[in-house]
Amino acid sequence: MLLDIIQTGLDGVMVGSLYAMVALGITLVFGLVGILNFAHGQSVMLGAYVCFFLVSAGHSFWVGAIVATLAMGVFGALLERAVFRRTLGDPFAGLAVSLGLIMIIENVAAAALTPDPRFMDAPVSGNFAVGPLLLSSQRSLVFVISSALILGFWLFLQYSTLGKAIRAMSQSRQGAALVGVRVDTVSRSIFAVGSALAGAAGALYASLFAVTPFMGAAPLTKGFILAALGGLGSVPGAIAAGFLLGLAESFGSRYLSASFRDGYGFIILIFALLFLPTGLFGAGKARV
Amino acid sequence: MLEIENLSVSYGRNEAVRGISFAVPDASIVALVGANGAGKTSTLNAITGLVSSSGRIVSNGRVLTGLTTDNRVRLGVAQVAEGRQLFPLMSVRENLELGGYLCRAAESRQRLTVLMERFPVLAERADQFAGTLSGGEQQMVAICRALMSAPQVLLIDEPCLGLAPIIIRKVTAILRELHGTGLTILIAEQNASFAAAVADRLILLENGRIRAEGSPNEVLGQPQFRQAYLGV
Ligand SMILES: Nc1ncnc2c1ncn2[C@@H]1O[C@H](COP(=O)(O)OP(=O)(O)OP(=O)(O)O)[C@@H](O)[C@H]1O
Ligand SMILES: [Mg+2]
Repeated sequence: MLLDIIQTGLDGVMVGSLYAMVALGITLVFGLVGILNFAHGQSVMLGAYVCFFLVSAGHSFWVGAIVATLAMGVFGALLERAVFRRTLGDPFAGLAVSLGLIMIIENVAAAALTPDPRFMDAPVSGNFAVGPLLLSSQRSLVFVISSALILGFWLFLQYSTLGKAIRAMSQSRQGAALVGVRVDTVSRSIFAVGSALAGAAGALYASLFAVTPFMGAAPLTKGFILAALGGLGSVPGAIAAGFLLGLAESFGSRYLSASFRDGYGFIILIFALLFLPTGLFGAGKARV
Repeated sequence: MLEIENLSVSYGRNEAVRGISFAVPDASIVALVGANGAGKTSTLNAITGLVSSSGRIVSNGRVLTGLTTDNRVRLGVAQVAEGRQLFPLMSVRENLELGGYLCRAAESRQRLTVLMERFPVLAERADQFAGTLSGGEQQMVAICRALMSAPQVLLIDEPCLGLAPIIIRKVTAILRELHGTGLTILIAEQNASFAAAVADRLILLENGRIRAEGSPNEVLGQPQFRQAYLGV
C-alpha cells in the first residue's frame, strides 16, 4: 500500500514537472506582456515534431531536444514579431488572434504531416529498481531534465541581470524603463523564452507519448489552469501548481477514476478560485 | 543645463502639454507647479522618453529628442516617477542595484556603499522588501535608486505626496544637499509652499501652458497663481 502511494506520487511529480514547464511560458508572457497566448500549446506540438523527425533521421534524442528548444525559441520570436507586437494595446485582439493561430497551425500541421500518431524511440528504456520501487527509466529521465530546466530558469530569474530586469519589469514597467531596462526588447525575448520552454517540453512529451498535430491541446488547457491556479504572472505559483496537478491526476486516476484523469485539474481550479481567488500564494507575494 | 523647447505631449486628442519652453540652469532646482492635470507629469515623462512628445529636449548639450529611455539615462538624466515605481517585491538592496543597471558592476557597488553610508536607513532596511517600507522610506529609496546611475539631471515627480510634514522637511534637506553637490534638479510638485521652499525658480503650468515663471516670491505673488490653484 505504502509502496503504491509512493509509486503514484512519483508518477505525479514526473507529469507535474512537464506541466510546470508549459505553464511557466504562459504565466511569464501574461505577467510581462499582458497577453494570454493560447497558441502556446502549438510550440509544444511543433517542438515534439522537430524532435521526432530528427530522431527518425538518426540523430540522438539530445540533438532532437536541443534543436526543438532552439527552433521553438525562434518560432516564439517570429510569432511575436508577426502577430503579438501588433496586438499589444488590445488584450482581446491578442486573445482572438492566438485562438485563430491554434486552428491555422494545427490544420497546417495535420495537412502537412498527416494526423497519424507517431512514436519515437526513447533515449533510455526499461525500468530500474530503487529498493522495492520499480521506476521507469525514461519517465525518471524526463523528470530530471524538466526539473533541471525549471530550476535553471528560476535561478536565471533570481540571479542573472536579465532575470532581474524581467522581475523588475513585472513589478513596475515604468520603474524598469527608468533604470534603463529596454522594456520592449525584454517583452519580446519573453515570447522566445516561453516558447523555447514549451519546445523542450514537446521533445520530452514525444519521448513518452504519441506525437500528433493535436497533442498541444491538453498541455495548453492544463497550462492555463495552472497559470490561473498559481496566480497569473507568478512563476513560483505556476511551478507549484504544475506539481500539484500532476499529483492530483496521478492519485485521482489511481484511487478514484482513471477515466476522469483530465477533470481533476478543473476541480482543483474551481475550488482554488472559490477559496484562493488570487492564486496559490496570494496576490502580491509570489510574482515572477 | 536642461533645455526644453516647444515641448508638446498629446494622448490621442487630449493635449496635455502645449508647446512649452523653459530651461533648468546647471546646479539649480526648478519646480513645475500647477493643479491636477496641469501637465507636470507629462512634461517629466516626455523628458525621459516614457511618453512620446514633439519639440526639442537638450541636456548638457546632448539632444535627447527621439532617443529611447535607456539612452537618455546613459546621457545622465534620471527620474523619480509619479508613484515612485519601486519594485515592491524586491529588497531595498535589489532596488538600488537595479538603479545601476546600466553601469559597470564595480562602479555600481561603490555607489551603493556610498549611498548606504550617507543614508544609514537604507543599510538598516537593505534586506526588507521595498513594498513594506513606510512612504518616507520608499521616497528615499526611489531618490537613491535614481542617484545610482550618477545622473547630472534629476527629475522628481511629487517628492512629498502623502508624506507627513516632518518627513517633508527631511526630503527638503536631502534635495538641498543634492543641490549643493551641483546636481541639476527639476521637480513636479502640487504643494506650492514646499516647491517655494526648495526651488530657485518656479514655473506655473495650467492646462499644459506656462502661466507664470520666476523666483518663488514672484510667482506666488501673482494673481495667475491664485487663479490656477484656487480658481479665484
Ligand atoms: N496615459 C494617459 N492617457 C491619456 N491621458 C492622459 C494620460 N496621462 C495623462 N493624461 C492627461 O493629460 C493631462 C495632464 O496629465 P498629467 O498627469 O501630466 O498632469 P499632472 O500635472 O501631473 O497632474 P497631477 O498633479 O494630478 O499628477 C490630464 O488631462 C490627464 O488626464
Ligand atoms: Mg502628476
